[in-house]
Amino acid sequence: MRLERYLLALYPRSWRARYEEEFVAMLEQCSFSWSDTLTIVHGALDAHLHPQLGTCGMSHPEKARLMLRTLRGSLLNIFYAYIGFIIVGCLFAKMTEDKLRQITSTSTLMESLYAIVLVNSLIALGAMLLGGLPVVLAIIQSAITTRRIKPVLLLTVPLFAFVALLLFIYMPRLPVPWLVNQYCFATFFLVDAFISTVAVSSAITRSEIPPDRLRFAARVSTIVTIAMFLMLIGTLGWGLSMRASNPDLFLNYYSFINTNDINLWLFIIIGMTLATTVASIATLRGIRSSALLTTSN
Amino acid sequence: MGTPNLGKFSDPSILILASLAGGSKHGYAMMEDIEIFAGVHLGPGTLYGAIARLEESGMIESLPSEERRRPYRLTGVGMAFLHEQLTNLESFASMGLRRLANT
Repeated sequence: MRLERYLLALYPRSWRARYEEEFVAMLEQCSFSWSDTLTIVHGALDAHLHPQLGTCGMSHPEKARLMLRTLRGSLLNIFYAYIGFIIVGCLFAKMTEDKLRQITSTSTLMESLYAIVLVNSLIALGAMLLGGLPVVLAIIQSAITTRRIKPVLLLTVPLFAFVALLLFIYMPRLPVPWLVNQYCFATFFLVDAFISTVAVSSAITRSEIPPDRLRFAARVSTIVTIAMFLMLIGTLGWGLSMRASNPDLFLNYYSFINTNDINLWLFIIIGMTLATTVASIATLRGIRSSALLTTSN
Repeated sequence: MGTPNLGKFSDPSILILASLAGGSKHGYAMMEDIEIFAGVHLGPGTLYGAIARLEESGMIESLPSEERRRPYRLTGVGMAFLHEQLTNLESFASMGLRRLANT
């Protein structure tokens, strides 16, 4: 019962507001098997993919407001997933910059798979900018209209964070072992990415963004998600062919932060899979809430 | 009447509608009733996934809560839909039985 109650937190807020009380009352009446518990997880996923569920009884303006919030929340989740993907993607770039890169260039298959990752990283970045720039402009317009400068200041945080990262890279190395320097860089990079992400998402939630810009961003986010999926496939294929052609090297070679490359590759695959799954669910939820927003207006 | 798209929840939905045809019930009572008359156990997630869809499509409606449990009843749309589905099922069953009798 306790586990089932915790699993209820997986459902969207609007669904919980409508059904949680009676759902809990039903759970209290009997004990359930593991397969019953799994239906709760499946039901939560289904409720996320169908944002109209749980909106019964709401007026049209209430529904429209909820769909607008859902659309914005979905776009933020895609943004978080993309940043997570970029972080593990940087690990992949770091991992393949020395010896493994040279080996990659000796095989047409590995080189093609590596190219898939590279090309799709550019496509995802381009799509992210295409969908994100109108939103950024809307934040600036909203700040001018409301005379509230804070959201614009929040948007400048990633720029300062990037400059700080460059300074960290090009400043003289501390007289400490190589491994400590790598750990310091990894920590700085993660903190930098976290602060920038929080600042941008905070600017988005504090601003009035016209629904048509959010709708456009939701459509473009499909490209980002597809590109993420293709990068995942490319990275998976690259690792499998590397393992098949050079098993000893891939198993015994130690690179970034002294990690065995097979473990690092597995970590990257898990990270990319999680990020792609979150982005896929959020994209579907965003597109559906965008369509429902149109019908609610 | 247009058939609403209930996706993979169409089977649980028919079971819920058939259960509510016997009178209004809350979630747990529906679960027990379906287990008795159809021998099918619906998990809580599946049950509420189908309830939410049926309510959204206007086939069932909720009644005032009784001690946190909310009963549901069939609407006119739900009755018509269930009738149509069961009639289709009946003609399918009779056709199958006729064919079996001829073999």
